[in-house]
Amino acid sequence: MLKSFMTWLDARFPATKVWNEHLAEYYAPKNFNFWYFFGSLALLVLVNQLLTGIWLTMFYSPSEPFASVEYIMRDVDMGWIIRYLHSTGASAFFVVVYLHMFRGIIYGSYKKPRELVWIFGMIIFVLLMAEAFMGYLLPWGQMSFWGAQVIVNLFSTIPVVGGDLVEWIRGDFTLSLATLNRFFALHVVAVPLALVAMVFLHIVALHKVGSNNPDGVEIKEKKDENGIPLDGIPFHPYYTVKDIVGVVVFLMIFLAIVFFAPDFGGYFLERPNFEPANPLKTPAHIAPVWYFTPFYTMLRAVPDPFGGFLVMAAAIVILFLLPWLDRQKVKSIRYRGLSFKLLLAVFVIAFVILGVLGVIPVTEFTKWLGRICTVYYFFFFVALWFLPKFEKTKPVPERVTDK
Amino acid sequence: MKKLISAILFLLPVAALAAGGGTTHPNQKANINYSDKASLQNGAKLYANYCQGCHSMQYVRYSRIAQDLDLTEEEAEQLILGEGKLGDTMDKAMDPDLAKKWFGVNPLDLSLAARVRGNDWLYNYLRAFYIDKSRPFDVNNTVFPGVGMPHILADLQGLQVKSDELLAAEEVISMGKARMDELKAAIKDPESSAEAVAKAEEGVALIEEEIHDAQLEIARLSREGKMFTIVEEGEMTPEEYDHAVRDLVAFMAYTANPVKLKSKAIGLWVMLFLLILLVLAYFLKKEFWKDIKKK
Amino acid sequence: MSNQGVNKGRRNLLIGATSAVGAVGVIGAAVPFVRSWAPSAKAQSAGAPVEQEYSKLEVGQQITVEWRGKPVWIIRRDKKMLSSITKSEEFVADPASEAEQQPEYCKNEYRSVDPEIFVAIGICTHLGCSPKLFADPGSLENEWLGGFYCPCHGSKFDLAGRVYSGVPANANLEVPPYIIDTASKTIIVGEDGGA
Repeated sequence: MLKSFMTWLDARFPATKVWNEHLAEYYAPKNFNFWYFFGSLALLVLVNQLLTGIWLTMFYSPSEPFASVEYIMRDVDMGWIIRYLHSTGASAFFVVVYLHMFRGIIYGSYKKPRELVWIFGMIIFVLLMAEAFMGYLLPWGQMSFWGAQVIVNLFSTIPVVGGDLVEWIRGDFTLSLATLNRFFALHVVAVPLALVAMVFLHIVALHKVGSNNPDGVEIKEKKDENGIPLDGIPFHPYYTVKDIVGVVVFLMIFLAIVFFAPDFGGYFLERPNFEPANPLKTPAHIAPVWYFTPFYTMLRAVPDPFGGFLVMAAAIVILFLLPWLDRQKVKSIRYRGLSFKLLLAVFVIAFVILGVLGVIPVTEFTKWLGRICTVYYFFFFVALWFLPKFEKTKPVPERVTDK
Repeated sequence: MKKLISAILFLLPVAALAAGGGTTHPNQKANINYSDKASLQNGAKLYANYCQGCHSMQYVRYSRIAQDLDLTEEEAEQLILGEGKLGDTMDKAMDPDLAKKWFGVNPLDLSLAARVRGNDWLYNYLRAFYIDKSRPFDVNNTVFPGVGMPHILADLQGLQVKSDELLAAEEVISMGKARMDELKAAIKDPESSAEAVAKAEEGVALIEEEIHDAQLEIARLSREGKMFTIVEEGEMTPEEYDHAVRDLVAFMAYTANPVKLKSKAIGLWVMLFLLILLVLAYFLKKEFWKDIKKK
Repeated sequence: MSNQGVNKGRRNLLIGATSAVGAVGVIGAAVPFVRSWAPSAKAQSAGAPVEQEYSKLEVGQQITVEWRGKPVWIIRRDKKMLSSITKSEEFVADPASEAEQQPEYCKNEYRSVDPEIFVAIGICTHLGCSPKLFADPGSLENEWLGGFYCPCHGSKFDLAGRVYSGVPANANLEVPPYIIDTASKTIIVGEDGGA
């Protein structure tokens, strides 16, 4: 019965073919470790955001934004769960995506032939930032308003066209419901469409070249008589059952936050955002949500506003170039030199410091610390370019290793 | 992995800082109990009697309060203002335009006040009104200096002034600052002799220490709740009043986040369920991966 | 990847158990999404019972109140109107109100708590138009006993809201739950007295 249906279907749609190519006969390296959970987790969070987002759209109203969020939180039956899933999901998205990107850096997953996988991933990251930024305006609280005010005003620092550009973005002379309405449309329709499309391309590109692994060995170079990589195992069932374990552990952490601490001490939902937007009253301390803070600190590190804007933009652009900046042929950190390990460790510390500095008030000390870290951020990429000249790499094995 | 952990450790103190909010004077803990229905009910009554005249809770429905606080229909109806129905939201009695005329501003909606300010802030604020004839309502507040609200709970608390210890400490600080300004001017003055400058610098250090000690003293008074002295007794003893304010804050904490208890209860079940699923998923994974190990 | 030595039974059991528990999880996760579609507290508040005083309602007069966005008629029937209901018995499709178009306590000849006071939702059971009251005999057509006529598709109902046989509508007019408070002479539409 099922078999004859599948025959009927396969004659009209490549169901079995797609299943085999991407799951049952997609051969992934058998030595994936902890870091390889975050790709599928990102997909899970994306689905969570899409579903809860669609549901929130059913109750949210851009003409009375603050009140309609409270309507969801109080009057809609279990609406609060849906909202917390969405707000916590936004932060979770960045957690898993940052870790996913870090995985790419330590194992050199962006290197030939996976440059496009990285580029598509970076586009997803930029779209995600746009999505999160516009979404954060929607509750129309004080932080929503003033955070968006600050970021939108960044464009006013652009010489000549800045003023007109900002007015055009806002659709008003100040940030207003007109701005919110267009952000709403972009947040719920345009950017999600683009995100889903890019995620599709990201996976298609990955499955064309095959997954990298913690040893940075190309498993396709050693195949058995059937053309199956010796170190490859079918994604399904082996990695599906493994990812289920990862998903459950992730859900335990994620849902613990949703149910026990959705504010996360003021980091996921900021206190002033429980006060409706008031254009006449600036909160004492405006801080962007945590996932933007490293870039925000870079912005503030430069005294000239337009310069800061350029530095911040450059910090993102330079990530796109990573596949070409890192000229070392050895992919995995396991076989790279101490110089790379140190360089990367300091990079991680600098990035975290940049993040922390973005949420605490500026003092003379933090200003300079921020500058040092910003300089180091860029130095890291420049150093990668020159590193192969000094780096003492270890021999890369022929086959993947067991840990 | 190690890097991740060190990153988390690095973030923790910052998180603690943000969660604590700013320091207030007085600085005591509200210690409210969300699951104490009697406390919440008393808070609701206090809110209806003292706050609702001016402050709305436009997102909170009476029916929801009745349900969550185990109020009978009669008890719930006593909370209702004017001609409202049980399903209505808690509007204020006062006309917003009139309010603006009287207070200069339209009093805030308090639905979410506890989430904006924090429970401790509210608890300290409501106990920190003191007589200050220079203010429009003859009272000021150490938690919210220059407050625009009258001391609406004065009937209950009575009226208080800053305690002698607090005044003494404040005196030390303001005097110290004034003297410090003089000394600093002397240091900057090009005509001062080197000897005079050295002496002035010594003086500055001394005053800084004095100010620091005075600030520590204020912090101690804050913590111990010894900032004020009652000069006109109210209906309640200070202990009773603290208790009443605690109930009121508990009620406001509830309205700011009415699902808190329910959320925890659901969360526990969810965790239990995921734990079971985790065990099963783990064994499923192990079972399949036996194939790989054998190879 | 030899499949020898695989304990098929154990494997299938684990797949079954994990899938079953996982399915429970999916159902649990669906709960908030399903429940959020129910009328919200705001809608429930707007749909709360409606009170209407009837002491000033004259005999033969009809008033309409809104309850949950629907017109609810309150009509004070006189003796003549009540006797017309007895007469229309043989022409109506469901004289004993067998279909559940009224609360249990209105399942009687006059389809009301107090014969004098008729409460019904003024929406035709055919396609949702609002029928009009033609109370006097002969006011609609010669044989007319008095009742309601729906202008959209010509459905007819008697003065107890019972549908005539052979018209497009096939169910009696719906009677909402209501109680009559005789002390204050008010009708509370939407509240179920249950008696």
